[in-house]
Amino acid sequence: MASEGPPEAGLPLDALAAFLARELGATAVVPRAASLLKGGAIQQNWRLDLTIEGGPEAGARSYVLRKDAPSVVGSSHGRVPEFGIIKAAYDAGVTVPRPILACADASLLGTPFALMERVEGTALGPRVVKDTTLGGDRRALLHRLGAEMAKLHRVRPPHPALAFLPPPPEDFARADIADLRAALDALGVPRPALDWGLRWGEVTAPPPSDIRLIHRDFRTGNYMLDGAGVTAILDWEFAGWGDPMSDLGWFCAECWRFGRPDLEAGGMGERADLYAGYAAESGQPVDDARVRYFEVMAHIRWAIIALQQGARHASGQESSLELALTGRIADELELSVLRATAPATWELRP
Amino acid sequence: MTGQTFGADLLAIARKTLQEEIAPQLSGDQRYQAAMVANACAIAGRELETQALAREAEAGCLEAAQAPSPAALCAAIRAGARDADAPLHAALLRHSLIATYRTRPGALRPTERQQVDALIKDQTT
Repeated sequence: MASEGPPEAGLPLDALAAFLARELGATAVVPRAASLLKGGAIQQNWRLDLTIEGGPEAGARSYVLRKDAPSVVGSSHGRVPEFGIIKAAYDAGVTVPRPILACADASLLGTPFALMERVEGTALGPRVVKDTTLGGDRRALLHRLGAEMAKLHRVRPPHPALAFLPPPPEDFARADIADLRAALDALGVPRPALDWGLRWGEVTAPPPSDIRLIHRDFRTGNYMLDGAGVTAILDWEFAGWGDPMSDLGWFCAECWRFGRPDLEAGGMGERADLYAGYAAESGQPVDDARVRYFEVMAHIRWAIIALQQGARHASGQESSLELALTGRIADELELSVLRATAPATWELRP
Repeated sequence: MTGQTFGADLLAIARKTLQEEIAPQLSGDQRYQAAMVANACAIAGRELETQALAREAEAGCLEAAQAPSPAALCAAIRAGARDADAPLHAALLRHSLIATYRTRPGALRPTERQQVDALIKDQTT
C-alpha cells in the first residue's frame, strides 16, 4: 500500500466527522489522525483514524478516504462508481477493503468520495515478486488468487447496483478490439505492429462467452500481501462486464511478471496453481486457449495505455519524464505481440 | 580529430557522471528521478547509434506490404489485406527488435540480441 506522506491540511475534519456520525448512526465521531497517503495522481487517498461512539461502526477505526484529485473532477471513473464495484465484489466474497460508504455530494470535500476500511499490506509488483517472505506459500497464494477471480466472476449482468457500467457486450473480444482500435486512432500515430496484433485478434477471436463482472487490471502489483497471504485486491477503476478468461489472461501476460518470465502466473509461480484455484471455486475448468488469446490482447491493451500516457507528455499536456518513458514501454510490448502472432498462429481458433 | 565530444559520446559521459557521481548522493524520489534521467540518456544514445537501421527497418515494413506510408500499411493490415503475411511479419519483427533494443535491450531474448548486434555491426563495417 502507499506509504504515508507528511500530514497535510485539506480535509474539513469537523464537518466530515459530523457527516459520518449522521451516516453511520453514531452519537459522535472523533477524528484522531488524518494524513494524505502518497501515490495518487488521479485520486487522493487519506488515512483517517477515528473514534466512533455508538452505531454499528462503534470503536477505534482506521479508514481510507478516496477522493478524486481536483483536476479530474467530471471524470467518468469517479470514486462513487468505483465504490459500487468494490461493494459488489465484497458482497460476492472477494477480498477487498470493507466498503463503508460513498458520498456523491461534492459540497463537503470538493469532490465525491468513498470510505473503506484500511488494510495493511504490500502491493508493489517488483517487490512482491522478489520478496518471498510476502504472500505465504506461493502455490497456495496463486490458488487463492484464482479463487478470488472466480468469486468476482459470479457477478452477472444485469446488476441493479452496477447500472452505471457500460452495457455488457454481446461479443466481448470483438468489442474490445473495436475499443482498442478507436483508442489507437485517437492517438493519431500509426503503429503497424499493434494493428497487426489487433487484426490477429479479430481473426482468431474465440466465440462469445458468458459475460461476468471482470476486474480488467487483476495482476501482480494490484493485490496486497502480508506475510501470510492476500489482504486485498486493489484498483477497481477499470472493472466492467466482459469475458472472465480475460482476467486470467491479463494476470498471466508476460508483461506483468516483473522480471520472472519463467513464472507464468504473474511472476509468482505456475499457472496450474492459479487455474486450479479458479476451477475449484467456480466449478468450471479454465479455458486455457482463451486465456492465452487474452494474454496476447493484454500486451496490445497495455501498449495502447502506455502510448496514451506517453502522449500526455508528448502533446505538452503534462511535461513529465516518467510519462515519456512509460510511452516507450510500447516498443517491447509490440515485440511480445509479434512473437505471439507469427503467421502459423493465424489458423488457431481457441 | 577535433578534440571535442559529440552526440552519443556526450550522452554516454553525461549518463556516467549522473550514475557514478551524482546519484549515489541522492535518496528516495530524487534517486528515482536520477535513474530515469540516466535511462533517458541511454535510450537517446542507442537511438543515435541505430538511426540508419531504424529508417531501413521502417522502409522494409512498407516495402514488404508495398504500402506508401505507415498509415496506409496500418489501413491495409486492418482491412485484412495482409493476414498472416510472412514477409510483412518478418519486417515488422525486425523493426520491433531494433525499437526494443533502443528502449530496453534487456527485453530482448539472447538470440534476438545477437541478431540486433549483427545488424549494428554490419552497419558500422
